Amino acid sequence: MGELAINNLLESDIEYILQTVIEELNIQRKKNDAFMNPAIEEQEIKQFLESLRVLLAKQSEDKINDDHLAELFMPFCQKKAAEGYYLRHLVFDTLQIKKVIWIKLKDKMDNNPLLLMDSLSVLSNVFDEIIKYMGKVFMEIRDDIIQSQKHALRELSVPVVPIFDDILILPLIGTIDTTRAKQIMENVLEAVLSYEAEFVLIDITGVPIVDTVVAHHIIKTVQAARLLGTKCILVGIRPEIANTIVELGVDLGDIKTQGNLKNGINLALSMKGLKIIKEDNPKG
Amino acid sequence: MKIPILKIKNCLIASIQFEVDDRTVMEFQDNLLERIREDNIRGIIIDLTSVDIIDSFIAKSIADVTKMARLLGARVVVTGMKPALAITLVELGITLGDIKTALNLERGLAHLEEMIEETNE
Repeated sequence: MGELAINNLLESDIEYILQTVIEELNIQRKKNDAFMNPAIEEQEIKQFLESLRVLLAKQSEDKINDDHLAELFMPFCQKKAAEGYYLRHLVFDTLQIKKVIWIKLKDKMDNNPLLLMDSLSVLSNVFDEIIKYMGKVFMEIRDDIIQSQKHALRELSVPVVPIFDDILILPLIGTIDTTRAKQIMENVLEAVLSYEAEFVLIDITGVPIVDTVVAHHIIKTVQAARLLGTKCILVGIRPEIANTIVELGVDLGDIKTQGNLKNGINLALSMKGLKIIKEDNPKG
Repeated sequence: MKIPILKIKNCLIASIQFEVDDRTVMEFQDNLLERIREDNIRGIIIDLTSVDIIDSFIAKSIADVTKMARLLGARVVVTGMKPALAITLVELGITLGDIKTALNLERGLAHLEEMIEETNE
């Protein structure tokens, strides 16, 4: 019966509630500069109240479940998330709407405490469900974003570039941690197989710090590539990196190294018995 | 099951096609050395193309047989190792330091010819 009472209220006093909510939201916004932009606009409040009525009708029939909530609030939440609002904005505004309805209910049913009790508890329940659902949707949206960013980052992080027949370049940029090192090793080995590479030039120009862990990962990659039958050349070792490698006492074993990529390419070519020569009559 | 050993000219090709146990690999060692002596073999290819996983003992046996073959005057190239296998071996700390490797059988043969020529010189 609480559901019916709220629904009646929403029908008879819709204009009043709408206006009060808007006023209330404006007051709150003035108090708090942090989110001046209304998260929910007038049209959307109307829509929200409409959805609330449908939900209350559902509630009086049987329990509301996620399907009902998804149907009524999913597009709304998605729209808000896409517009860049945070969950707290949405929850804040939703709670304002609840507050206005709450006060109005109290005014209306002052003479009927039993009905008031029931109505308020129904109101609380419904809004709890809505906010719980909003939290869920926002978390899902956030998770999706994080997943896709992770994926993009992973793809960006290990580019393997074939430059000549049998020669691959692996330009490493950024910090290397264990996860990334694993990724690098797997990608390099796969690329070695698919390009049938004889040489892999590992360019560490863009790696800011080479400590024992990073060196260890590089050595392991070189060893694994060697087991496959490929030679690795480590290039792009900056002076300060050379300094740390020696200071730390890292043993690079018999890994071939060159100062820069150019020398590395020359070394690989000469090991293959190739050489880049200048043509007498260059074309173009 | 025995690991098949095929002869081409003065080379042997042993392709490991199934998960080998310790006894098989020991037998393989004996057979291979016997064949080197009998047929005056100069080069050996151990092909691991269809091997998904080997343990440290098998890896050590392969390393050992390489050294033994060397003593008998034959050179060994290990070919066709898969990335997953290479990663496992490196994680286990088995780097097969002084064994020659090649991407595939074709390159392995080319490699072997070079090595045999070098020893002849």
